[in-house]
Amino acid sequence: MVERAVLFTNQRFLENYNINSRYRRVYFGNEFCQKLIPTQKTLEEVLKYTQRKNLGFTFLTPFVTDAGLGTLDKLFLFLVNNLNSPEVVINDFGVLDLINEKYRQIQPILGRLVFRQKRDPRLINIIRGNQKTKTYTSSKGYKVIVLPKSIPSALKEAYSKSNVDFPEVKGFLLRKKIKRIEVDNLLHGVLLDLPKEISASIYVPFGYITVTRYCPMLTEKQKNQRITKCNKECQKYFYKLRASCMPKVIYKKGAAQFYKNDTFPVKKWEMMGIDRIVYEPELPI
Amino acid sequence: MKILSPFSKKEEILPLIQAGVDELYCGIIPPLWFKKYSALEILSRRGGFESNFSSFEDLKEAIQIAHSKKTPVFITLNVPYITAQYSLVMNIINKLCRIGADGFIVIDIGLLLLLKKYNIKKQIHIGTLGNVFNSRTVNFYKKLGANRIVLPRDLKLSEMENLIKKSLSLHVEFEAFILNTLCRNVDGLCNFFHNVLLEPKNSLNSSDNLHFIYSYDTSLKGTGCEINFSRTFFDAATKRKLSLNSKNSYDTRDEIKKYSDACGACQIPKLKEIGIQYLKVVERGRSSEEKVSFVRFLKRALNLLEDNTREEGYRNRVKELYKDIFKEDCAAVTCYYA
Repeated sequence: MVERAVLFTNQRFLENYNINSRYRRVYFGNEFCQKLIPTQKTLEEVLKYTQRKNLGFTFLTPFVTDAGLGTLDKLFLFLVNNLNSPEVVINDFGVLDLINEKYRQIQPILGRLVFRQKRDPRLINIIRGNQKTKTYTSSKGYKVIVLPKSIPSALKEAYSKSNVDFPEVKGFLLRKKIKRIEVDNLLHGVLLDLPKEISASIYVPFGYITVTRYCPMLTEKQKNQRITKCNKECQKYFYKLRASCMPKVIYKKGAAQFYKNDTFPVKKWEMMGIDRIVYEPELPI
Repeated sequence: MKILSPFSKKEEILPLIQAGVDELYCGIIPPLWFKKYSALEILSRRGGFESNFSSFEDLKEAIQIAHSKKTPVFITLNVPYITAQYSLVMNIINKLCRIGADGFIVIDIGLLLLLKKYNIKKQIHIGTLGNVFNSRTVNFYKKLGANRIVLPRDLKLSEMENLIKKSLSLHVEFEAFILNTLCRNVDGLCNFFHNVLLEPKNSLNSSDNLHFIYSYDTSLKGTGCEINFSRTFFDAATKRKLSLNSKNSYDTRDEIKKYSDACGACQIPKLKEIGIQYLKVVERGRSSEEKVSFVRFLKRALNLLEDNTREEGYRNRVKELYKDIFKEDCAAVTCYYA
């Protein structure tokens, strides 16, 4: 039976959202920016909310510097004091190292930033051979005709599969207490060979493509600097980016960029061992 | 501090050593890999035959030349692999060991575990795609056999300093990017497709005025940061479209642009002070002349460091040196560690 979870990065969105009975769990936190790690007070309020609604709780964490590690360290202490075996999604191997060493009660989950997938939406055209012949005139004045070529079958497999079933990797993950991995719903399809000890969650409808530390939502003056003073403008605005070579609109919000995939082959996922669907009602940043 | 440079031809080695390089690195697309996977996705991040060796024989000769000048050669294997690829990757690694490679630049957990399992006694460098943003991640990779960490270019100097200070007991070496390719996206977390592979189509007659080529991606847009997007701006709560020119519009310029000519030479004194031991020149696909000029520039910058104890004096002189070697002023916008 597939468990349905709903993901929020913002407490206000969570409280205004009508979580219906299909959902048994709330994911809360942030995967993409350490400036958006919630405060302990927010975490406490969200935790109380989920307990009131009898929902499971999973804490999302981003990749972090040493300063961010310090912040998470305090929040992990709070979590283990308030929950039995809390689930924490890690997107940084340093965070996993911290959990393994100091917080054995926490169940770490391998997040989608550390679980490597080929996510560029353009791959669907390359894999399916939906390429059109292109003609252009070169800078030297001659005409160039670009003809599509199909990729080798082994490469098609490489674009959809992973290393989670490799015995060394599986053993390593289990030694690190990881029994769940988080994956994106790739446009060209996910192919997971999950070992029986490891399950997976799939995020819908938004898949992440890339992330930056040069936040595009800072002011002009700060543009070429890494994120320093943050006014959380990413919580107020987002962009849609379009290009003829890109089969999908790119959503750009704060530090991250996403695509949207509205195809949900749930039966196929279940057969692969995916037992949790994480629904993102908003762009997950 | 030592200078690490890329090379992609054996003829580049002696000029690079003459210019002052201390260590070399390169990639390879072996025939056995190409046959199965093409050169669209290769063993390392930077694609294309112009950036990589294509035969073990040529690479072996290159390594012998480098070793004759006591210069180590590291091989980039800095991408994630899938289960079906590991036996082929290990086969390639065994061949690379036999031809004298001094170490590997890797990021894949499975590969690190295999290198450990098979007791491959070579230097292991965690590439920038390994996303080492904190000292705990250094510890994580150290346990997997890492000797050196290549820090992501996205870290501020103060963050690097903190990370290195907290990692002192681990006895790991640290390397930082110093020249070329400053992308706004975190390299190790960027999933944009990066390669465009063009192959001449020989079966059709090409003439002087008409050329036929094959491509897996006929849009010919490789990296995501080189795509020209049209942009629309929205309010996150109402999903209402906003004007890009409104005062609410934040940075509507080309903010994901990649800067090819990035430089961090101004900050070499600080990098040295915080414990960076290796300065890495990137972009294996640059011309041989460019690669040599990059190393010459850095060698002279390091020599300046010996002469100038005061940071400001060093900075002014390194900017003059930049103009002298590259025939243009350095641009603050392309500064790695500003």
